[in-house]
Amino acid sequence: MKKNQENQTQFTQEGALYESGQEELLQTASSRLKEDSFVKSKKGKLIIGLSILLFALLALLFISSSNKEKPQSAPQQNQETEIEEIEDSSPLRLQLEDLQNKLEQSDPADKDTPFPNVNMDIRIEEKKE
Amino acid sequence: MKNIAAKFIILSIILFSIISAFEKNKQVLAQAASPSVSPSASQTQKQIMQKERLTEDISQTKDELLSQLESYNRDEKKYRIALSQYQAHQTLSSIEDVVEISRLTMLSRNQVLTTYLKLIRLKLIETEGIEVTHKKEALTRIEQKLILLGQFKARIEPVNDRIEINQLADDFVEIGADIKEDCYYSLTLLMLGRLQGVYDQTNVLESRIKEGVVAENRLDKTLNEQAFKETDRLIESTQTMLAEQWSELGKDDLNSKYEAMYRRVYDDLNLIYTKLSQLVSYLGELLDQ
Repeated sequence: MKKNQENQTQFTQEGALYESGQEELLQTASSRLKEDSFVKSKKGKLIIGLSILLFALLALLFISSSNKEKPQSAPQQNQETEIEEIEDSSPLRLQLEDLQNKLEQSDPADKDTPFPNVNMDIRIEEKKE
Repeated sequence: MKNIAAKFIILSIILFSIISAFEKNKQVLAQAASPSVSPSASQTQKQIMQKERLTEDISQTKDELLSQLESYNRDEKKYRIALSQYQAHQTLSSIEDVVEISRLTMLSRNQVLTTYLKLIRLKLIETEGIEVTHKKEALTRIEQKLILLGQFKARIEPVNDRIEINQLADDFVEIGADIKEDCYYSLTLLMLGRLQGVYDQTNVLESRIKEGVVAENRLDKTLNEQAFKETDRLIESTQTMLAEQWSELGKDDLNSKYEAMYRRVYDDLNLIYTKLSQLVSYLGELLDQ
């Protein structure tokens, strides 16, 4: 008996808690219903559509601006400086430099490929006249 | 709410991928639409590449020749020792040694001469100022000598007899002399051709500078005329000297005297070189004004 009495007291004490839990469940269910109705409603659809459009516009703006501001790679920069250098020195000046190089290479004193010093008469006995 | 967010994210990802694909496509189309390299530019590029390859081949052949010469010098030293041993002792073993070493030295010499001819051939192709008929003649001679050397190598390889070595030596006298003459002919062409190339380029540059100076009116008239008169005079005398050398080289009675000519023309070519140096320095002065 004692046990039952104790359980009843516990039940009555916890009863309020169960009731408040049910209320919360009811509240969330009703809010979900509200959300569903928001998505399905014309207003909701309009807001979602507009937000997508806005996002797409922002993305486009971001891509175009990043393309413009993209830093040039090192080889490209080098090529540009080389072109600038070439433009600085006139074609006639470049031709003269090329000519000077060719002149240096054509010095008759510079015999870079002389006939090899080889024995043209390899024999064992002297040639009989 | 979570459902809406998920849909929103998926939608934005799809949008992003469509936009990026569109951008990439645009870049590819732009590249495809860019003007292709003109045929003349590609031809110049081809010529540059050919020249680079030729320069590389020349340097490789030079290295090859140097290592073969080293090997030849070692063999030749052994040949001299073996020959003196044979002459001193006349033993069977010394005969065997001298035959084998002579054979190896002959093969070594053959290899050196073959590589040298190949090097000269490459240099002839590379040099621009050589007259076409002379260039063709020199290249044909080199080809013939390369064939002869190949045939001679085939004769050396199986030899194992003293008499055969002597026979080969006798037969090589004429081949060797011809190879030497043809090489000196080519070497003279190379020297003269290089100077002719510089002269041709000098001539072109002088007329371009003249055009530029006249167009821009950079010099006063008297100074202008004087400078160009001096330059023209030098160009004319250089041209005369070069023409003399080419006609000298084309004389029939010079056949098989090219080694002597190569040594003789050195002074004349040196004078042409000095004149060309003076010309180039004049052109530099004209450009600086």
